Amino acid sequence: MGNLLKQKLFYIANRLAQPAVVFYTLPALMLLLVAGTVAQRTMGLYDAQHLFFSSFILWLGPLPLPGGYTIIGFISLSLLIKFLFFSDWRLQKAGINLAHLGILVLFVGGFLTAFQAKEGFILIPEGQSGTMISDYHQRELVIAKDGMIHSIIPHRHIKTGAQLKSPDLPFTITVEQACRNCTISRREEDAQGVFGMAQFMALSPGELAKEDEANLYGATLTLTGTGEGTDGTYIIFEAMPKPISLSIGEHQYEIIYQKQQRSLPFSLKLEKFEKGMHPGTAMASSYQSDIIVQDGTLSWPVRIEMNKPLRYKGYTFFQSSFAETPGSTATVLAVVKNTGWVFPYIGTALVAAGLLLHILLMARRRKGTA
Amino acid sequence: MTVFRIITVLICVVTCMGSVAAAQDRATLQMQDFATLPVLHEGRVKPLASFAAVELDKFSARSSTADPVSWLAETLFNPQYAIKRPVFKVAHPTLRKRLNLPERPGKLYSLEELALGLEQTQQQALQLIVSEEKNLTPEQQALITLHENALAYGQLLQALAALLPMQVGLPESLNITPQIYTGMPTFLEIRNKEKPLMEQVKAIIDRKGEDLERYTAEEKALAGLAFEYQQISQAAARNTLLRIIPPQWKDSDVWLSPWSLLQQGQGSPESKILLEDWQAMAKAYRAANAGEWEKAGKATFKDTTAQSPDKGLGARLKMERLYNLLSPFKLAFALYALALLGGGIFLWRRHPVLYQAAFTMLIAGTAAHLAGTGLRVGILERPPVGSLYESLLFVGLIITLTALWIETRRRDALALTGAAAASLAVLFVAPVVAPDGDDLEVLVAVLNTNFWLATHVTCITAGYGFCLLTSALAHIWLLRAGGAAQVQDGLSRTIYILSLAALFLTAFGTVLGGIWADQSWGRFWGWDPKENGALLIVLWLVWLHHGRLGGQLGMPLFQAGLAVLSIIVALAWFGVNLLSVGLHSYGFTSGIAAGLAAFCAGELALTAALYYRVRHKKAGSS
Repeated sequence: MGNLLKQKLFYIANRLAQPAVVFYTLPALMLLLVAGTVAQRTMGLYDAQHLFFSSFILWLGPLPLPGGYTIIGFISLSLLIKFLFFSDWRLQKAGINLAHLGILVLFVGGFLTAFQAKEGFILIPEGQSGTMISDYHQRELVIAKDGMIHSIIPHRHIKTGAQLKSPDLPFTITVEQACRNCTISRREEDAQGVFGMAQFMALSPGELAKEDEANLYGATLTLTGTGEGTDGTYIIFEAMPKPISLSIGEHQYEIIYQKQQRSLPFSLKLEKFEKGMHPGTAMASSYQSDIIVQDGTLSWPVRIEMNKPLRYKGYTFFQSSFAETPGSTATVLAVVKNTGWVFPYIGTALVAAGLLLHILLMARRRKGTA
Repeated sequence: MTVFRIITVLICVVTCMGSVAAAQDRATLQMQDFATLPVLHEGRVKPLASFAAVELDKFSARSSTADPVSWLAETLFNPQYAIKRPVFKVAHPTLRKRLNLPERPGKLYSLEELALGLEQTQQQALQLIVSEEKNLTPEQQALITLHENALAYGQLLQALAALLPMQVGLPESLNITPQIYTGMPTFLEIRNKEKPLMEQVKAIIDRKGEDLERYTAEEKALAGLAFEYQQISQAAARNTLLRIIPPQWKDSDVWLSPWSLLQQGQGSPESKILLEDWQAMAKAYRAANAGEWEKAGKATFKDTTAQSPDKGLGARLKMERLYNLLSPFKLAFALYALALLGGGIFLWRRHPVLYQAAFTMLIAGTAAHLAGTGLRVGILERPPVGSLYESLLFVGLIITLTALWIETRRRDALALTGAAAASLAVLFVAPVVAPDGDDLEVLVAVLNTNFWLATHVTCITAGYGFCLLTSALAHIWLLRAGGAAQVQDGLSRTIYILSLAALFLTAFGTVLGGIWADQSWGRFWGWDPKENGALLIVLWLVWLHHGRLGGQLGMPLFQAGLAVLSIIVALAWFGVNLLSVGLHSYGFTSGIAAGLAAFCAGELALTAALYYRVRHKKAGSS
């Protein structure tokens, strides 16, 4: 019985280790790649990536198709079995084996990144310090009570028709309409029962931007239970200059919609931001931020430039953009926390060395046989 | 005064410039030195010849047949003639009607002809210029472009006005004796007396008011001179297009126009020397004095390059002149065409002379191609590929270089013919994607890194080159396999090694790109269209090789798969650019999209036909 199982396992493993696996699964991956790329034109990069590549199942209507994770996972499994148990360890195949190992390392790095990496950005005005990272994609509705955060509701729960309530909140929020890229327009109709900024403006869903971070998330809300004269329609959107502010009893409540915030275990102070220009044009040739890292009692200066990030305590900071307002400049650094960042470097080196070795060995064999 | 008023004022100012005494033909003047003088334009110091070509092409929408350098010289030194030259293209028929322009072939008009219409439409243009580009009709767009061009041209006409003679009566009380032109002072000469002139005119106005009738002849001359002087001075405000004076401050890399030197008080003893050099050029040009012109041109070149903080500038300017004169890529194109012709005939009628001729043509073409690429590297001081246009030039070079190497081993004209065809196709597409204006471009910040340009970009474009050569040879393999005679000469082996090299270069280039992305944006892979395109090529090659290894793909199918590699490369190279373009460039890209679709369809049909011919023959012989 044990033997039979062993045989069965060997049979399956052997089949999985065949080049035929690659031959039959790669077309699916290529199709997925093309479809996911073309779809970006209409749905934007972020949504397409989640639908096609960062997914196990891709639903084509009622039809479940394998998503990027499934296909790549299957190929990885096949490659792992092939590499561990069925590799030909002669010198002739050394290049191929090395390249296969490199691809495995790339896949491991890819999966590590996919499941734990966090991306965001931090904006620091010149002369100031920053410790809060804003997420690129995740937004949240924050309810503050007397200046303290009371509850945080991720944007995936802010859906049209949703009711948000909590036993220790005196009011209920009903989402009348949520929008992922809100268009702000002047409120035309009568402003009866309408409060805050909603008295002047109305939100409607607009076409999604290509890059998710450019979308302006927001919602039209109805608040009930706030008391006479304040129950009614409100609007809220990202970076709204004035939050919804309510006075109920002796408590003060604020509602904010923002990009999800995370704090750094240390702080960065921007000493100076510099922009190099191509002479006589308005086209930038370089950006750089002079930063002081402050961690506990330690502090030291670093310079972050295009293509020269700062890596510290698992975080990596990249010169990403800048914001100029009259009289002040702020740097925008992309922040990534990714424990898998080193894998691509190793994988790349292995794949390159492996393929090069294989070509050399093939060319030598050609000479040998000629 | 609105910006657009400047045109009208300008024409008055320009016509007030003294006319040229000598009627001698200026065509005898040697333009070589003038053409090589440096100017800062679009972020880069380049020879005036390149500057002139870009500007003239811009105004005339590439339809002027005038020599750009002579045109520029006349514009700068002899503006009152230049305003009569037809250099502005007005292609839109309704706009021509609105501006009251006569119909003529070429649709080119002079500033003088346009002046009235421009003045009448200036209000509208001012309103349109603030509205969004996509909301404009083609006619409105054309109107804005015309106004913008006229303004830029106005800057050129005025650029050296301070050095040109003014046709004005000279008041005796100022005691100005023109030193440079007989009887006519230059702006600079009057400027030395600016203070007394303005004081006297103010005193006259205080005394007699503004009614010219009550002025004496001397007073009229003073008032007239002051008016002219101020007109030129005002029209020259913000005249910054012609930046021919090297940076005057330490650590600055911004070159200055003569007017910003004069009006912003940025002069120095060094810049005075340069102004005198240009003064001598202006005088020699206007007098059509060939000897003086040459002397002044050489002196200006020497003094300007000596004052430039960039010590390699002189050499680079000469390189760029050589590059412009040689047109190395056009030359390479012609030679490749001959090589293809020779190689093609040789494959059909095997005559050794034909082979030698074709081989020589390919070597000569590759040499021109290599020289062009080398000159670009020298001029721009960066690795060869930084834009889509440059990637095409480089891929073409890789194809023929690799083919030459294969050809020296095989000597059967197969690689030669395939490479000549592939490289011709690539060089044919290059001008289509070339940027408007100067194709020697400076790069945006994220690309402005020689390390990654030299590694990732060079690697991936070399990979494209190997893919295209592989594809061309696979076509030949299919063609031969479907033919009458069976040849065993190891072509499939050559193709196999080439495709492995293509796989290596594209795979390594792709992951290097990931590492660059990790260094600059913090993510190795982001499923971005460009990344996906590169990955598609790698996957296609990996798939073909595994299929061949596992026995699912027979040799003919394997070769057919390699043949359509050209389609995959074209899609990854250009197709992804079409995905991310905005609406406003629709007209341009729809042309490219149609061309790309036609190429893919044609290539697919060709490969399918070749493949079925092979299958058919096999079926027939078994």
